[in-house]
Amino acid sequence: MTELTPDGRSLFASARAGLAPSAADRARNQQRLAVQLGTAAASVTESATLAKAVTAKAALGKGFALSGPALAKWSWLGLALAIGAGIALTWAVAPKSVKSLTRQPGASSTGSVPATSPTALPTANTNAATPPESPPNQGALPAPSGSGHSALGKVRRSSQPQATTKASVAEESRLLRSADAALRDGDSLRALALLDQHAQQFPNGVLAEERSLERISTLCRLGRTSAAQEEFRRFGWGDSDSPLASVARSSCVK
Amino acid sequence: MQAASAPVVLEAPAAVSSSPGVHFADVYQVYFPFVWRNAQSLGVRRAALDDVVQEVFMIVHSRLHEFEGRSTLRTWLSGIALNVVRHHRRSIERKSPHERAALETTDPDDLPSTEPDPSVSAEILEQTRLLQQLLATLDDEKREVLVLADLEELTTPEIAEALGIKLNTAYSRLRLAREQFNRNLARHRMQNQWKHS
Repeated sequence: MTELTPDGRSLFASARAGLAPSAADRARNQQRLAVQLGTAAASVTESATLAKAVTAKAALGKGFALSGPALAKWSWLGLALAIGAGIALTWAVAPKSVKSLTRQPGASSTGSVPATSPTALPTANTNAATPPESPPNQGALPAPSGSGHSALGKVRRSSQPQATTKASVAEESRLLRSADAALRDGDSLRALALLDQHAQQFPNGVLAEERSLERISTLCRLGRTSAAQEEFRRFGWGDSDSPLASVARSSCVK
Repeated sequence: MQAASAPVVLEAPAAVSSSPGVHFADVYQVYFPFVWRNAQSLGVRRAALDDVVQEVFMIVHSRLHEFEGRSTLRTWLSGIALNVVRHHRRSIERKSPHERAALETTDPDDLPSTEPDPSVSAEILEQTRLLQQLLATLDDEKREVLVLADLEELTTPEIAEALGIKLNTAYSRLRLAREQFNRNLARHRMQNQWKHS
């Protein structure tokens, strides 16, 4: 069998890293999938109703305004993201028993659509290891500027008032996308500022995990390895079994 | 067919393989990067990448209960991803030249972020771009086997299964693909050397 040359093998090895999705790619796609599957499996629970209600509001309020030829294509994406916000919200307020990522053994093996409820979908912040409860009051505390957030990996969502969460998911997503765009444009300081803003506005946001990952990338880019390591330690990435943990571990903190 | 409740061992990550069955959310979490990378290396452009990957997982979601465990999950997913990418390619080909040109000139600012992680080095990005250029010079059949073999590291029997072709055909196609890839890469290096000499 003909083999690749060492040069060719090296190209493929590099591409495995170069073609990997970023944290923002993951977050965006998870939201979209939650929306699509929520629609496909619709009518299952009241959570779908809740999602639609939030959708209508968010779509009207935020608008995801675009113009020109891209309008038709991306306005639906905006709508989808808004629905995603609703689904993510549902995830955020659902009881632990509903959040299980697993399909129950024996459930719906004959139906055309597996019995995975929208609330059991991998939302942008899916982490089966997240503790079910968190101490009271922490959710309302903004993190100190500069540090970003405090112990966010351990306290989130369930301590957050529902009203706050309802309005926040689309905005969370927007802030993180802006931070990611700034980082890709080489403006690491702006990225950090946006991440700080996110941390202050949404200390226990549903995208806290993605924010932490983005912060580590940004600090690495700035050469602030010790700060990145501190973030890594504070969020508990070392012990996390989140699928995103491998990304954190492969950054400059290792 | 295997019952949905029967244990199916996923290859790779322990977090998944220790599960009592195949759960969609686990499959998504573990294999999202695989499908994402696969679609890009098979030539799906940035503007369509999200849509293609979503479509793959929508199919996985609706058909996971059909997964029989006769092949690895990765092989099964590869087959689905290949079919979706091929369908996507055909839909592009059916468009008029004008529509295709419009797709090519979509404003990058309107697109979702699909850049690799910012911590990825410039050298890796350059190598990745070169690989994609070289893959684009291959015809679809050769490109598919090469990506599955040398990027995703599937075995040749797995590739044959994913593509639905005979094992000997897979071996033959892979040999031809590697030969052409090696030639094109050597030519590129020589041209580069000549330009900078």
